[in-house]
Amino acid sequence: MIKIEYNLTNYADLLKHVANMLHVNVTDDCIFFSEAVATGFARLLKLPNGLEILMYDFTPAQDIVFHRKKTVKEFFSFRFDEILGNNETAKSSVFFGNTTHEWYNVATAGVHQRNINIIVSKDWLQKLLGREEHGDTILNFIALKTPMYHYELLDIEYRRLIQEMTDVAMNKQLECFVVQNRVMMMMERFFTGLYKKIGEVNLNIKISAEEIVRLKQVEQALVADFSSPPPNINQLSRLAAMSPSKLKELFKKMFGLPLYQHYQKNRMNKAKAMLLSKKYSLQQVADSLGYGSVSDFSKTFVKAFEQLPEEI
Amino acid sequence: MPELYYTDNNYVDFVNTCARMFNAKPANGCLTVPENYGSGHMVAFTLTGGISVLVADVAFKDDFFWQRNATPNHQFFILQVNEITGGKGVPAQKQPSPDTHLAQQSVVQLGSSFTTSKLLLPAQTRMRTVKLIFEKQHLINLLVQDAAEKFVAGYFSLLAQKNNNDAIDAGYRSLLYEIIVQNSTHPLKNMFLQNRVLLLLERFLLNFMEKLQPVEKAAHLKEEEISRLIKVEALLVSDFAVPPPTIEQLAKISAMSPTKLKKDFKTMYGLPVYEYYQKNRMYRAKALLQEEIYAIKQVGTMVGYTNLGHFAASFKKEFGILPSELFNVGRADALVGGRPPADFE
Repeated sequence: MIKIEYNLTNYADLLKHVANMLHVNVTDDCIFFSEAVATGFARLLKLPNGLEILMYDFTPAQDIVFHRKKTVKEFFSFRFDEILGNNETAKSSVFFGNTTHEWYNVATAGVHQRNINIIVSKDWLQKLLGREEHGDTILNFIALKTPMYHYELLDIEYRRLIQEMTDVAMNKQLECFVVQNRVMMMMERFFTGLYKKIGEVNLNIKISAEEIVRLKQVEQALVADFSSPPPNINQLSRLAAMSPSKLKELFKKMFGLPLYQHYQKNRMNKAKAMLLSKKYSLQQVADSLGYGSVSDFSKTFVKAFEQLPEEI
Repeated sequence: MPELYYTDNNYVDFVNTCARMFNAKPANGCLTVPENYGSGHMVAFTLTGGISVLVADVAFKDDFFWQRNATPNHQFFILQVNEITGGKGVPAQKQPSPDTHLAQQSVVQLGSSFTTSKLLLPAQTRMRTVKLIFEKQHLINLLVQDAAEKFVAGYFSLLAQKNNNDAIDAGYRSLLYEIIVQNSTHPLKNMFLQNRVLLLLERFLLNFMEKLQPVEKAAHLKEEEISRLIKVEALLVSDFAVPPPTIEQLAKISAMSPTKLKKDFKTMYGLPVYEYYQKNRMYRAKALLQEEIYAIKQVGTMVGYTNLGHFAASFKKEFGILPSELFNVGRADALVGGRPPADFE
């Protein structure tokens, strides 16, 4: 097993460092591995928009552990790892993280892989996303999730982009432009996906499926019987197994109204239904809905429906 | 007939020039064509790096004439991708002068500020277009220096051969549609537009550089034959909701024998006629899905599939994924925040 440790954020320096560790030379921003280490190469590409990318295309002869140590200044690193051929131990993946925390990447012996590494400064990312209407949402999310790690499987669209980057290598005149376009497409795809995920997280994270079941139980207990006073918030919170404040918040989110407004709305709807059935007197309706007097009931009814119970 | 003469070297100014003519005001950089002139809209913006872009989807009631006067002391190039549909294809009024480009065919065209350009869009004809203005310096920034030099030298040699146009194909068309249709709904709108516009430029440059190679692929096709093939292509991909024209019908339109048509079509577009049709159809479906306003089933119908299973299978054949998988960017396997997966420990 070979271990390569580094905390460099400049890819030209990093390539030199890797070359030194493996006792090979850098020629034209490219290194070829020695047979004992791997077959294949690593190369540095400087793109017109100022980004540097490091591309690996290799099959390690033994496990190689890349160990990024933390840096003081914050950078963001993308890694698109494509595993070629069928392999059970390694997965093609996209990794996005910041450099203020360390991480490891193991290139498994005998596994042919292509890696596209991109490093961007905080400023660069801010400039890129700052131009977008929803860019702040993404930037805030990234800032909140420090240390930031995002890991997902490489899908076919990413694979196509990587393949096109590899295919163009023969066309020296247009290579940088084509690679840059693919790199920007990958970032667009990545951040679009991340943005959508942030939306889902905000919608769903606060109510779990189990909480939904308990909230429904609370709601049923609340509107079960109007003839006696409704359960108080402490009783309900015990039933829901959550704090009163959390219960109030989630209840409103799920049913659209605060607890007791929901109770009152249902109580009045029931009153209207009873009156419409023409089977009950005003006194009976007031009694069964827990009102001490017909006049109290009438007042609330007018407030809810802007008409007197007698007019139904 | 409305006539517009201008010398603007960027499209933000150009849109303002148009706005003055229409007596209208652009809102957020977008100019809507007033009803008394026609319909549609145009938007101008500048990419990081300085390339100026115009995106327009317009049709006018009357013939419309534009003339950009040459500005030889300010040198720049103009690349336009035009999709022309509808209308009679001929001017309602008098025939234009011979040096006027009559917009009746979809085309990818490269021009420059060295020559005056005249464009006539016939009445009721819909033009969807993306235009780029770029200078040599922009190319030097994007390509290696000698590629930019080669481009400029190549521009003049191909101009002399009248070979600086490119036929619009599936790749151009899907980019064009993405740029025109989706420009308001994407969460990262600027990045989306910038990337597509640069992909359009990339596509043109790749073809352009290839044309500069000594062996010319389509060399044996006559100019007139090329023009007829362009007509065939436009007809072939005009409507996917109905079955495509047969080879016999296409042969009649192009005044070629079916055998010659099939052979020449493949030379020019790189694929046999119906494979090309199918590819365009799938790209169209993908573009429609990406608008995120139609259900998969609707899209299937719009591109002529009655059986959703067949549609899904064809889509997968082209793109390797099912239509339903198009938006599954990083699903349950994704991990946000917290600790990295074991793989990284």
